[in-house]
Amino acid sequence: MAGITISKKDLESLLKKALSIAELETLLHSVKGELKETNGDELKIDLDDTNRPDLLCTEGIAREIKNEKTRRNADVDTEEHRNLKINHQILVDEGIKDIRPYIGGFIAKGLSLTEGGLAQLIQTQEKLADNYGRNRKNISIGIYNAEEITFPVSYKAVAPEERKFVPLEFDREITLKEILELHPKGKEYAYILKGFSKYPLLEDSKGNVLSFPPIINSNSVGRVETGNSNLFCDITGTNLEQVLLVSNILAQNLKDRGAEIILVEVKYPYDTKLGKNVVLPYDFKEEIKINKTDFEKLLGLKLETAKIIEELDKSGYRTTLSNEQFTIKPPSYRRDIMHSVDVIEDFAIRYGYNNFEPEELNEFTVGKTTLIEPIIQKLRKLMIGAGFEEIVSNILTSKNQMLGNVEPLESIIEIENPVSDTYSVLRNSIVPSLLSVESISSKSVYPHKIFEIGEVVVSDSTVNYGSRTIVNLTALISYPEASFSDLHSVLDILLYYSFPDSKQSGNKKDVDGIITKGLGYSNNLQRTEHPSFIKGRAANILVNNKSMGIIGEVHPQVLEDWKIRNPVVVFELKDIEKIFVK
Amino acid sequence: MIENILNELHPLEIKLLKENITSADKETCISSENQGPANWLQLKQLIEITPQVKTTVHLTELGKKYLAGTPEKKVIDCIKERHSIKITDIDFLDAEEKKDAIKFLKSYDIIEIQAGGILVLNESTNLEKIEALQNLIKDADKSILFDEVDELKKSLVNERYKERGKTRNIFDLTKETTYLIKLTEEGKKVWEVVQKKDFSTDEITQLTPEMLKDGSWRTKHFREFSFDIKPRRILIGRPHPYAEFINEVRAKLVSMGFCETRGGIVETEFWNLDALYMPQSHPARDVHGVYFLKSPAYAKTIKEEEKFINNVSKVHKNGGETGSKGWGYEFDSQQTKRLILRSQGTVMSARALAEHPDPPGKYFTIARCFRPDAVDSTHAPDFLQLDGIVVSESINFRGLLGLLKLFASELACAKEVKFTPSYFPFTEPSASLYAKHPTLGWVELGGAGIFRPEVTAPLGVKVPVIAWGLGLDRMAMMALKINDIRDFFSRDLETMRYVNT
Repeated sequence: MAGITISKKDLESLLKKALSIAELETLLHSVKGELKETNGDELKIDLDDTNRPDLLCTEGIAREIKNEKTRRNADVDTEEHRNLKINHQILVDEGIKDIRPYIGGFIAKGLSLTEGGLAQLIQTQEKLADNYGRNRKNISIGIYNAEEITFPVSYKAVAPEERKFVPLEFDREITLKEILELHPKGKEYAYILKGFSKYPLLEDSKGNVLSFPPIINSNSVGRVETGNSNLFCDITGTNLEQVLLVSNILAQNLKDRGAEIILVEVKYPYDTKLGKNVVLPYDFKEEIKINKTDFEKLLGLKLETAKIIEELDKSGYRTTLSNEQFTIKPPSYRRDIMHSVDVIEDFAIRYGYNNFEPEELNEFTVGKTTLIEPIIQKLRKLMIGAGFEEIVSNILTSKNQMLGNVEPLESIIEIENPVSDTYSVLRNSIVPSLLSVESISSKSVYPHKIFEIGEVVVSDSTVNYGSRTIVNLTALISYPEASFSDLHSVLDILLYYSFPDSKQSGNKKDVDGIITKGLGYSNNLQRTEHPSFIKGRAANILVNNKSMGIIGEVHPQVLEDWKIRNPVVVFELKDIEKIFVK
Repeated sequence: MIENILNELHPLEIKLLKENITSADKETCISSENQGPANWLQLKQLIEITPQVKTTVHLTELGKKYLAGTPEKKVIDCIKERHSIKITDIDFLDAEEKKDAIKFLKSYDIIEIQAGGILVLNESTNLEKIEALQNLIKDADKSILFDEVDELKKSLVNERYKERGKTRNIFDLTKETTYLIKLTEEGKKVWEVVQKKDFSTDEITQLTPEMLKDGSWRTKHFREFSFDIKPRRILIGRPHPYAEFINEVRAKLVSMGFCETRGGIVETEFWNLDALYMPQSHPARDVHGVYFLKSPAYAKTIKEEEKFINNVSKVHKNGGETGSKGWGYEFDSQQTKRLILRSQGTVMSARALAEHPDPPGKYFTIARCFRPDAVDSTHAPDFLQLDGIVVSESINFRGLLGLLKLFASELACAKEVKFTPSYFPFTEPSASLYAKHPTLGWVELGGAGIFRPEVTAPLGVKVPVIAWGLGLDRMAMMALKINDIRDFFSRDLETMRYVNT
């Protein structure tokens, strides 16, 4: 998701009509955009599609929502355009190959740059370089007053102190090294050139410096002002195709504002994926073949060929038809069309999602929950029947919220890139989650009997991912007289009902023939010592002679640490799937 | 009328009327143990209760220290003795006390500070306040009632009790509430009768096993109960409303023929991102951030994924055999093993497809997901997502919209829905589902689409698959008609007990 701010007036002038906010909101849906805020003429828009850099600007949004029938004719890349003679060149120097190997550029002529247009141009430049170009690392853009430049322009590598020029916002000549040290933009983007012994430089045939890509323009030719009518744009980067796409987008934007785009040829001394000579705006020559039935099958519609062509035209596609098969060429400013499904979606958007008649699903299958689910539900019902209130907690927590944990802290799974310390580890036990509820509930009416059945993550070096997600059941009681035996009774009855077919032994009936002592697993506790519990009041819970959990009276020091003012007894059954699912 | 009231009197009420109230006209002071029956009588409008708060003034530790003289008094006494004193020569007080004392004396114009920090008494000095405070301290040593001291002393108590920090208070107040009760006109009539009546023998309040055994209940009279009195509050075991909602959602999906799947919280980039056609290094992965594991950082092997990894890497590189041009980069088979926290429920859909590639299939998962967003009122540290797929020869975009509409009405009780275009790297076409909330307007419930061939083909699926992911919090807000989800997730027991859906 990316956010942009545009001028409503500017958008309306490109659309050649006024829009109400409600109309605008609806139209923005078709570019996967959402109007977040309006502030006078300013519109703040969030754009969903991270693979559509062409939409990060007013021109791009206008192109899509204009609904122009002949949109494809307005493309910057047309056949007649392609046949023009090329008079402008960028010469690339061998030395740049390992630093920032690719450059693109074009000239836009006959533009009358208004204040709004200039502001938008700068915003587009920033959005493309920062969002799409990953903070200028992959893409950076320079815009110049073309009148001042004598072609050919050369793109070369120079030593940090070899050349001096006056950068924008400065009034004296400084070296490239000094720019990185002194200029705010230099400081911000110096990281990109870290470790290189030479830096990129763009100059014209008279030796005038255009810019120091990807850092800053020169203050002479590199200064664009309202009223400039001829502009030269350069795009440098680390990925040739991205450089070309961004060049195409910028050229299209300026063409949409009325400029004539003049071709520029880049001559490389080394081989690129697309040869040594690359002409911009670039023709990617990508075509996709789609059958009418592809549209119909994916969308569930019966369609007229003419309707398909008409709608695709509006999206800027060039469509030709032969033998029921469309050959479709995307507009030059788009490279997100990877598969025919991308074209079909564009058609569906033009068709209008809300114009589709939803169809009922008629595929019969048998529904099932996972195996653990019935166990979870049974245990929940038993705990609620025993008078316990259910708790739902988050799993992400911090190490210092794990006071009184029953699992070793060392085995906790930590996050490499937490946003804050508060949420930096995955809980490996539910006990701290319930203690945290207690710590803020001292004013809640007592008794407190709470439980949670939930996921925890425990490290396990024997498995491929080094950890396992398991489901635990944890119960806690707290009130002035809360005792080990109170919770022990709950555990006992819970285990009794959880193993309906196991034979119980050692149940002695009293004189009236009634069992008053535990029904279930009361004999299956094994004394243990644990710093979270009072000595002599903690035990492992054995199921089939294996320790599957722990029960104990929480140590007063732990209660003090949590600021809990009543005694607390807890038990935790670990991995109930392993215990109960057969 | 009176007869009815008499029949319903509880033994404790009778006891109060008979034993505690000795006169029909005088007010009676009762202790807290009689408060219950007194309240019941008040509800029946037989008595009026006036609470009375008695405040006692005591000395704190500091107050006791000042029995020998407050800092102000000490300063004045010292000035009186020597006519004047330099501030710096006051060595019998600590710095804090000295500052306060001088500030106090200055503010009441008791002293003047002359050049060189010399303190002298003001000519018109009125030492009443200083003396009064000293006397008050002396009195409070034996405890006095706040209401019985004069206005000046009251203000002094307030000054030295509330306005200073806890450690610098001289006085401590304890409050005790007593209740004065007085009979109403009706109450007087009842009282008259109660005084004369003998309740002792033939009234049964509680039927006992003994009475049933010996039949003695036959000869006795059952006291009638009043129903105006609120019953005692009890605490009960209770499911969490959010868990209940999740269970309903699960049950509805199962009833629609969906099979549930479940997986671990720790995932690999392979399943969570790569298999979903999110390129390893491209802005398209910026749709949302992911949490990485510190240790171990990588899965040991990609054994489980071996069958698919080749296909997935090809599809990223050049589209493989899907007819797609792919993302056009070299796939990194080390990065694909990077361990992360599940960031989207869709990962379970990819796993379900890998396991069951053949149609027909309908799967869903309720999965806890983690994204490195700052936690605020709308972003929880981790949250549940409901994701699912339909694998079917005949499924299409209209079927997807139909299913979304069904979910909105069945799971979120939405009456009105709309769809908007949306972007997910793994679906095309993609749509968002909106439903109308009674007060919040259009609320986005989730996203959906038809899985790209670049997702399905590498996993061995040859038919269309529709996929959807819905935010359970949003759906709960819709279904339960609540405006603020935060009440739902309160960690305070008492607040949770009041959540009533």
